[in-house]
Amino acid sequence: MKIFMTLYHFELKKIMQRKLVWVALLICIACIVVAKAGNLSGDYYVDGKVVDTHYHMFQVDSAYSRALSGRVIGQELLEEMTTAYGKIPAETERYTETEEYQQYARPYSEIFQLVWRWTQSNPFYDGWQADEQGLYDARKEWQEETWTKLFLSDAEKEFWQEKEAQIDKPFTYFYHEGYTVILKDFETVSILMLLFTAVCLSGVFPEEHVRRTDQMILSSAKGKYVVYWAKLSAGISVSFICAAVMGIVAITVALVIYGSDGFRTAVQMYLNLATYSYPLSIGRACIIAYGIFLLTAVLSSVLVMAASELLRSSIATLALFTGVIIAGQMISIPNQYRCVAQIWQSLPMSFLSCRGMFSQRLVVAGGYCFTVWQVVPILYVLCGVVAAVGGLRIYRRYQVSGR
Amino acid sequence: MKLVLDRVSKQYKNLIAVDRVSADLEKGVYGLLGANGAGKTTLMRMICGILKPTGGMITFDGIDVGEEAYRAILGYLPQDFGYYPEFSAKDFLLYLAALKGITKAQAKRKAEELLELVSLQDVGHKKVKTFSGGMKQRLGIAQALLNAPKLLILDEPTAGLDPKERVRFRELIENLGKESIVILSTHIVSDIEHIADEVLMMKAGQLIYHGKWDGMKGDLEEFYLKQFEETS
Repeated sequence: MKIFMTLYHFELKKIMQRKLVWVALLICIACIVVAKAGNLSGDYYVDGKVVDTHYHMFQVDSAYSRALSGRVIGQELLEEMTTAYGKIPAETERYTETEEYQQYARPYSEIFQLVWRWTQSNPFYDGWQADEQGLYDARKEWQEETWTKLFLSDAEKEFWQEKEAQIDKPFTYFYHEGYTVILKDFETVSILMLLFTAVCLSGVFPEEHVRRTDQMILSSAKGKYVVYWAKLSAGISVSFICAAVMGIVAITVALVIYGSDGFRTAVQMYLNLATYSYPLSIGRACIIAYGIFLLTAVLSSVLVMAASELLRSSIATLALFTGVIIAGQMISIPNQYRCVAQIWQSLPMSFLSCRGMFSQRLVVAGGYCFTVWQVVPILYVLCGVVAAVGGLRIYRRYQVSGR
Repeated sequence: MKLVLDRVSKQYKNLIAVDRVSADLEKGVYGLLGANGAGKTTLMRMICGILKPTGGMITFDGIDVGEEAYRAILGYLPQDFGYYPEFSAKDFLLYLAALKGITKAQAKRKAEELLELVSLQDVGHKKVKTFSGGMKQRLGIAQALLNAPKLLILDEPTAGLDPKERVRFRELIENLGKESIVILSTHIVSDIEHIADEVLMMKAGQLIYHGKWDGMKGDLEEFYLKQFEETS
């Protein structure tokens, strides 16, 4: 164990002494900060004229949203909202620019957005009347449409109906912008993490061959087994720590800028997960997302290192993983090919998004239904173990020849 | 202490790099001679366990070349070896010592001893990337000796060394040969002439001569050329 720790220390040193790692990490952190804070910079224009700054608009909107915190999304609040929006002249083309909107309606814009999303039509133009039951029915209808589009089985629908029944309704609104931003930008942070891992770890094994240090390593007592695990552990540590740093930066920046209140808000208040039926708070959803994010950092590091030993080239490995990441963003398998679509969406480059992680497709095993965020992490651990053992076999078979 | 090469062969598709080489080697210094492409490096790599023979067996005191116990008694200086540019010479030795299974405390002591032995004690803290070719070669020699090997394989060890260093190196090898098996491959016949107890000559993958060299047979270079003529 002492030898392993010494080798681990040296392998870690080898990785961390590469400028590439620091440069890549700094670029990733800069991208995360800019992505989070960039929305608040600059001015808001209407017809080419500056009307407001984005930061001031955010301050005003968040103050209005905070004022609604703790209010039940029920008949009373919906009536207040429709009354406020009713003061805007009906024939207005762009109602957000009216005085009435600014004075009466804007404080309810969060609820207005929610109604718009749930009913899938603009309540202002459609003349929507406050109707709590109608609103919740509209959400249910939308939910069922989604289930049909996703080709869910009866068992899956039953599972979601059970979970839906466990959710406290009517929902209570809480200001939760910080957590919304965390979930919204999660995919971007994840792609950066995957690219970082591919860039920084694709050379861990091939560089020994390129540098010709492999001859001394492989002819040494611990060079065919212990050093492999030391290298792998060092790579995993770098990937895990850097992913944790990226995650901490992303979460901290979001919570500092947008506020940390609203941890217990139902995840359904996040409009992209409005039809998701699992009884989950938005704060817990963020914890689950970043937990899986860290696990994926470990898996991707193992995959990158094992593939690099197979390909014996850092460039080829980098090209392969970059290609796969891009493919994950570009290719979407139609829902009717249920099995292929689900496998594709479970791959790291597709899974690390709200759409993938909180998919309503379930994994049915032994008569039980599990959500993908419960099952895929276990599969990732298994894949990681298989890749690590496969990598060891490739590493041990390596023959130094032809120089 | 016995290294046994039993019909060791290496074949790449249509090319036979090493052809049924057999030899029993005991304590002493063995000079391996052969022209470029004769199969010296391939044979040495197979003895070091980094290249798998396609035929035959290699054992040291009955331990197979593939076992960890075999590698534990092995010291190897490759012909063209790499280094970690950001590591200091001392770190480089400590890393290689860990690879050889030497504990940290022992490794520190051994690294200092060896740095002194190869006259690098004053630059032990400096990064290897700042070293000259000769200094790197001396560092390579030091790493090969870290585990006090019973079997020492040196592929072109004197390359890059100045005449003074070469003489010191010869003395070192001679001493090591009293306690271990040293196989030395070089183009410089005079190195072998001075220190080798026995000579192994290879041509086209085959061992064409294996015998003692006591200096009474005259000039080794002439002998070497003669052997080649006889077998061609």
